[in-house]
Amino acid sequence: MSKPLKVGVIGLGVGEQHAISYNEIEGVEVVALCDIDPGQLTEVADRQGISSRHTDYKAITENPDIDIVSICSYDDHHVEQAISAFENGKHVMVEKPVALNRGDAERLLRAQQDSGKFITSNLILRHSARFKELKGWIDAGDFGDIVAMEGDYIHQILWKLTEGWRGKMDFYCVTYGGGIHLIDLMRWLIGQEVVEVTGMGNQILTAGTQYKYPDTIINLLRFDGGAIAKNMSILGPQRTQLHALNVYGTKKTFVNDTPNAKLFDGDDAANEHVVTTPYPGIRKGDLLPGFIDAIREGREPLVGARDIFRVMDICFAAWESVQSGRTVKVNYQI
Amino acid sequence: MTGEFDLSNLDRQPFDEGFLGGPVYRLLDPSPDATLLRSLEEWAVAEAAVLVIARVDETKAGVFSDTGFRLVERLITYQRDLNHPAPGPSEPVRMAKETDIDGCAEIAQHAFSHDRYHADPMTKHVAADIKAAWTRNDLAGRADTCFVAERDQVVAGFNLCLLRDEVAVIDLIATAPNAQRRGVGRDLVRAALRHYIGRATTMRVGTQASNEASLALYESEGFQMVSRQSTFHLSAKAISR
Repeated sequence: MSKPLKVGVIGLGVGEQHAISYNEIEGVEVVALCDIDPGQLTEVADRQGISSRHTDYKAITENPDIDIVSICSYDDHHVEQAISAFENGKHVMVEKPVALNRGDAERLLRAQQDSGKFITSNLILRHSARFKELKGWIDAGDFGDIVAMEGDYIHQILWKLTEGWRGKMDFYCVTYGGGIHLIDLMRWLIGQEVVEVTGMGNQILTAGTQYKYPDTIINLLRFDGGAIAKNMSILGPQRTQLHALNVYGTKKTFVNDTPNAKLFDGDDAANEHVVTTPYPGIRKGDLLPGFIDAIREGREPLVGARDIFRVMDICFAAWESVQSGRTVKVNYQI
Repeated sequence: MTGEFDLSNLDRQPFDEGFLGGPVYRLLDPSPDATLLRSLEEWAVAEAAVLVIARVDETKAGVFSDTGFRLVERLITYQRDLNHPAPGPSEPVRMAKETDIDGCAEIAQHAFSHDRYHADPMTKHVAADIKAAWTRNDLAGRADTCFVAERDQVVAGFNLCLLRDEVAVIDLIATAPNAQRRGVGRDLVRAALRHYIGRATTMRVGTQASNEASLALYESEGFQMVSRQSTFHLSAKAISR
């Protein structure tokens, strides 16, 4: 048995689920919690039976006994907290988006690379059983060449913008919080890199609210292997939630839906097949056991630095395009 | 509203809600399919449900894999016919009195660890209090008959039984942690069997598959397994979107 790993969690909204998942892993123990809200801190720490409680994140990131820090605070606190954790030699799980602008992302990447420690982020659709199966088919060549994809984040959570902390931040982008999941998924599924992005946004759903940015954004992505894709983030759809994903290959087509997906291998009715593999079927802490394995084995986690920062670079280019009205080349820093 | 769900499929759980501070539901459909679970998950998130409980036959539990539901218990139900005699307890077991309530509630605070409340990180903080309150309710009149065993003149365990249509159900049974391995549980089961022979046709008890001492006890007292079920908990807070 390897040495026990000690974890500190910052931000106890989703962070409570991180704490639960870590504590379920053998040889891993959550030893300290942090939240800026003392009431939330007490409630979660009592529920999870953790005695070391802090309102200052540095009590976690600078604690020499802690090996791993999970950062689940507001998005605009991620970078300073993650950099502090890396400077103190911790492995870090940061909720997405890890950063809100290119400069911050570059500083974070540098801190991570200098530390020699691992980073991961909750780009969790890769963990869904249905999408894992789809990747297996694509990797095996069943789809032929990938021609086009549509990957959309469709979820009615407008209140998160109009009432929650996201709307109170100086800046927020729905691609960074929602569409990012599908950008990561599409990039991972086909193993190609995005070279350029064109984005458009509007603000009809949240007009007149405290939220001041587009609530709906559509990005078009061109991949280096030739595939093209659409990525929409809509946070106020009049429909049930869905990670819409259509993958069009030269041999097969995949269409996600609930409860079942469809797989086509031609254009006749007989060419339509049902995919019942569970979706989404994921809990918030599902990537953590794999992250722990990676740390113990000294290898990159399923979602590692290259994935995280490349997906952020695509998001930054997409937002730049929304603002400028021009197609933007993606400038990768890693 | 993002989710829609047929509410006739759910039963509110006011007892649990008193401890968990938010809406708690039990799924009534004994064999839900993936479509139903999917819409239930969405609905639970939209409603910020603190807890949704689902219990299904073990053979139907596969549909919960890769959902937001967490397996919290494998429940085994045993049954014994009451048409043949049972041996008596090795030491006397008596009916509970009102003055036993505090002592039994104290045992309940510490004796349980295999149940679904303890197994779920979102409910374990109130698990001991739930068991204590449940014990008090049974002793205050919910149970049909309450048995108490003593060791060294101190209450060492209890067996609280319900009577449902000629079936005696062991609702809660516990031995104080410091009195375990002294035959207290066996005495309490035997006392209940003796009491209900002639008053009920069968005795039923549910226990967790993880509770090996308990499984061995019931099997050695002539109980036979009649069902294996899996209990799942869903917390809106735990689901990733």
